[in-house]
Amino acid sequence: MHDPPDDAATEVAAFERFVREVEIPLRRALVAHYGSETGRDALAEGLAYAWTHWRKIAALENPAGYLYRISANHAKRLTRTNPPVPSVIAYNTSIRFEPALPWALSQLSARQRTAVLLVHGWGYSQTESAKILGVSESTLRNHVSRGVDRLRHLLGVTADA
Amino acid sequence: MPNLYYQLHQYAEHLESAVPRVSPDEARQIAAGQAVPSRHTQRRGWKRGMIIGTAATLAALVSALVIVILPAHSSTERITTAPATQSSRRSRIAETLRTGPVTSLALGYHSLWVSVPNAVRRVNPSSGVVEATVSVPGNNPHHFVAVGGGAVWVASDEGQGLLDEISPTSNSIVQSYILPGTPTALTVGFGRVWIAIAPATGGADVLGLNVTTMKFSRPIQLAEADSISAGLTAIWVATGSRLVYINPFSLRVNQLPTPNSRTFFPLVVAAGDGSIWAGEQSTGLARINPNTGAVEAYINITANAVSVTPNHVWVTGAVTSSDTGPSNVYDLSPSTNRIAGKPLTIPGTASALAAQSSAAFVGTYSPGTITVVTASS
Repeated sequence: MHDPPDDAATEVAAFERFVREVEIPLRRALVAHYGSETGRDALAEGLAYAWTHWRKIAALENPAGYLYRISANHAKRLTRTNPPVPSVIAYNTSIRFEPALPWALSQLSARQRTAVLLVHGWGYSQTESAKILGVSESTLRNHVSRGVDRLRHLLGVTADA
Repeated sequence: MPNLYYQLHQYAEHLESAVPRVSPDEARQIAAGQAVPSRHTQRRGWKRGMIIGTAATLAALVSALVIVILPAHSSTERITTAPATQSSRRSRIAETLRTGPVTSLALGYHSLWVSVPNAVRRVNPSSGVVEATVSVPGNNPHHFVAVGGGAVWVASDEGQGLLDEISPTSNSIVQSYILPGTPTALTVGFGRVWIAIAPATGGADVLGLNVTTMKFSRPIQLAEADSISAGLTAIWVATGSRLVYINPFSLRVNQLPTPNSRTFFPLVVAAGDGSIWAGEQSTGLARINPNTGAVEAYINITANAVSVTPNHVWVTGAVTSSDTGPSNVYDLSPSTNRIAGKPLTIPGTASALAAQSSAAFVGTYSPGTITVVTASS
């Protein structure tokens, strides 16, 4: 349990601002890596950790990248204790992607899938994506490049018209 | 597949839409031990659901006993309930229209379009009145009619194969296209008219006529094409030995991501209500997850035509193995995968099926009728 902050209202406001800033990119990255349920639960645990250790987190240079690793550890623990729940995509006519795309993404390594979806799915820059995942830009570039190549191979894409 | 990045963007948006955000309050509550993440909540909820479910079951049993034991003391009003294994819906034959031998049916532009030898009849689906008759060449049973893209399309085996475009405004043929083979199936979707043909060289080709440019796609070669349906992001084709889908933009042919583990002989296919419905003529109807290829339900009925509307999957199938015998019409509930009530039996072999909301139109080549079936709640 965290110690009550000196100025509770300021701490709460700072934490809420921080959550507003990092929640969406972290949720996206964790869901892309671990699936919808585990990814979200891991993020909730990660943000709870952030509140408990707020002073330490607030002082970090890249708190989002640190929390991603903390949340990822929670995700690994969750997947050890509870088998992952398969993500089911409910098809409807508003979906505009090839039916084989979810399957093809599932064939990528989790890091490749996360990197590809952050950069090409949600449109983060490589610098932003590397920061979220807490990896170097060259590592991220490798994951994206190999992931896209593998997707093209799996889906038989020769060119992007 | 055109534009992989665009599709990744669509997928990412879809993925995100299914995951609720984590609020600062939730994080603080978890930190304070006052809440647990949703997955744990669901597991607890599952246990709570079991307890509530058990209590509800016991309450229902007690109620049933009271009704059975004390009927004379309760109200004189008769209470009837549907058997637990059947939906309470009942279908009925609303009307039978005599139109001549029906080869194909399609609904669109507030009309029922009926393909008969040498003609297409435009019928008012409410009154049954024939509002127009359009002469089309060919008097063979191999006629298919489909609606969409601003026109009514008729594929016939006139000559080596012909596709006619009928204007629903003038009720006349405005354009004809010679096909390189006999048509075996027809549908409209994704801006194209999709025609499956059997070329003289063997096998099957699927052609897509772009309704904007009026140009044909390259032939998409398949081993066989018995039935074709547009929907759920793809063109689905039953080939008699498997189900394949065509990407309507790249024209690439794929099998389902995970092929079915058992031998499967689909002859009819329809896409709708989030599933692919594939009929094996003599054995049953499979409900297939388009994402995984898994058979989610299998209904043991004969199926020679399928049409999907919201809350209804209409199926026709032969009562006996005879080619001229009567047919059954089934109204299947997609929410339960069960037949609503008993199947309706109509004279003659069903040759065509079209459905809209809670009504189905079943055509027969002989005795040449259209039976209007309505579902009532």
